[in-house]
Amino acid sequence: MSLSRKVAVVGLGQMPFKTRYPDRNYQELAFEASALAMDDAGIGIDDVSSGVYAIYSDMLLRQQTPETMIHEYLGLAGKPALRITAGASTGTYALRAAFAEIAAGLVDVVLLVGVQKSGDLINPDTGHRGEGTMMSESITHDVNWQHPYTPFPPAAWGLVITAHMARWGSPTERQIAQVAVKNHKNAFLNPYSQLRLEVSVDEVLDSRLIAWPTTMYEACLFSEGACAVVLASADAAAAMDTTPIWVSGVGTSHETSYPYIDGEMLGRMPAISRSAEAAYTMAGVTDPRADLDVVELHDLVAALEVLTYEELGLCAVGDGGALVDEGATELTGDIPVNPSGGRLACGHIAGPSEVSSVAEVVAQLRGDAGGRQVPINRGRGLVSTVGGQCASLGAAIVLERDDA
Amino acid sequence: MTSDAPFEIPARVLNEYRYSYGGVSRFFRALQEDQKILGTRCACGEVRCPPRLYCPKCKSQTEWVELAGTGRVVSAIDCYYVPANYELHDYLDLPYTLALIALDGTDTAIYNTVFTGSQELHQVKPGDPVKALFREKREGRLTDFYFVHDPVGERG
Repeated sequence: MSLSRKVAVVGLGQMPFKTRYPDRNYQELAFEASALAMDDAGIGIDDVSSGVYAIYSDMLLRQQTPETMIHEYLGLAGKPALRITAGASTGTYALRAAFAEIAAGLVDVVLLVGVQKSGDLINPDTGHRGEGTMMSESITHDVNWQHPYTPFPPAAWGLVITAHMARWGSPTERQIAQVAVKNHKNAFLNPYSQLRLEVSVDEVLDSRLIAWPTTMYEACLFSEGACAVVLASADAAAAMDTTPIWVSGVGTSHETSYPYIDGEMLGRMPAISRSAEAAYTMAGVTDPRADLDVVELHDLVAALEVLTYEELGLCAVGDGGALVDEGATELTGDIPVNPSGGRLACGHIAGPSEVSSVAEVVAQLRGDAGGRQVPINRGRGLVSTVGGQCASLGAAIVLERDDA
Repeated sequence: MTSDAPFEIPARVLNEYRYSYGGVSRFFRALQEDQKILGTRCACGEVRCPPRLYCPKCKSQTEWVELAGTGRVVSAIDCYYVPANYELHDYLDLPYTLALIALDGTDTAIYNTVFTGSQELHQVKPGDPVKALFREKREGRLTDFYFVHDPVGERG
């Protein structure tokens, strides 16, 4: 397959992840992130030909077709728009759609906005906001065959993790805790982080158990936020005063909603590997650990990060724990993972999370990542996300500099 | 002076559902009325539980088969949290063990729980034989049945 037009990320607009933004509604959050992204690209709203909106949940907003209100608020009324929702792969699925619009020659400049409020829904009996979010999110699970016994996502996904641990004896509880320590440490260096909290391996292991092996500090945050990126064709990018970072590979995989129960795939997450393979093939990545400088991935629970190392081909299947022991994925390692602090500590709400992972890798490739900057030698980075019922929605994006 | 502080109001979206299980209704009726667990078999020979009206592989319409209600654990996880007012609290105490269970005679696995009566971690392991028990009060939901360890001796 060949596409005639190259696509670049030319502008970033990131709002910090917060527990809540009580002083901003979702249109205002989208407006502010978009203004930052357009400023960064050096363009105005009249230069934008289309809006793509990564908005995960209507239930959390108490609003259907929310993108209509945002599109008008941004000053884009009348131009094409598209809203994407795909669990915790919403933002990366949306990026693929935005990429396709430009690559296919439909438009030249797309504004991609991920936005989500999440703290407005409450548990009616307790008034608890986190529980309100969780209750809404829980019906991602099959309402007949999963949800009655699994009202909590880390439990349903955990069945794959425990199967993996039983099959390979890896990762260990300590190795998983080490990942949480790493990501909390990285979040300290990120001005967009929601949680800056230094924790030790022992503190992680001693914190409240949620669903074994996942403890409190090993589970992602609930956040609100917004993140926007501007994408442009090569011709449009050339006219802007900005360093283009090219989208050289995109891949998604919509997998089964049930874990594989036997054979090669027991304890595996094929949506992650298949989406990565598609993106690698398109970008010409053959040895991910050698070819990539930096990876942002979805550490929705810490153990998921370790399984993702394997599915992305950063190490052999079963060797993710050993990769942690090597320190390879630390900021100072040869393949740094989640320099942003990831979903565990930077923040998480589907939609903004995945767009912010793209923004983080672009910032790293530009050399703009401040105290969390990693060395850029090959000029290439990867975003991998996973969401949906039982890690069924995988997406991967390869980003690269001109000199890659 | 009028303040710019965030102004919050309470709101509700009142969604009440009444929906059908469609072509797999028989599974839940058999569960509620007869304390039986059914699967579906298709022309290509695959037996599924959860059942499907149509086979995703050979596209044929399936037929119902009765299952023994015994099986083995594929994967298990000890869970320490369920939102405060969920129905699940009526059925079990925390922590509970969520498990993926392959029922004997099927090629698939079903989400359910294994009750051990223990608060200790790791009482349920992959490969453990289990058998289904039925609750006295049954409503035609997945929670109408649960699993306990099945001493291998009893199964000959």
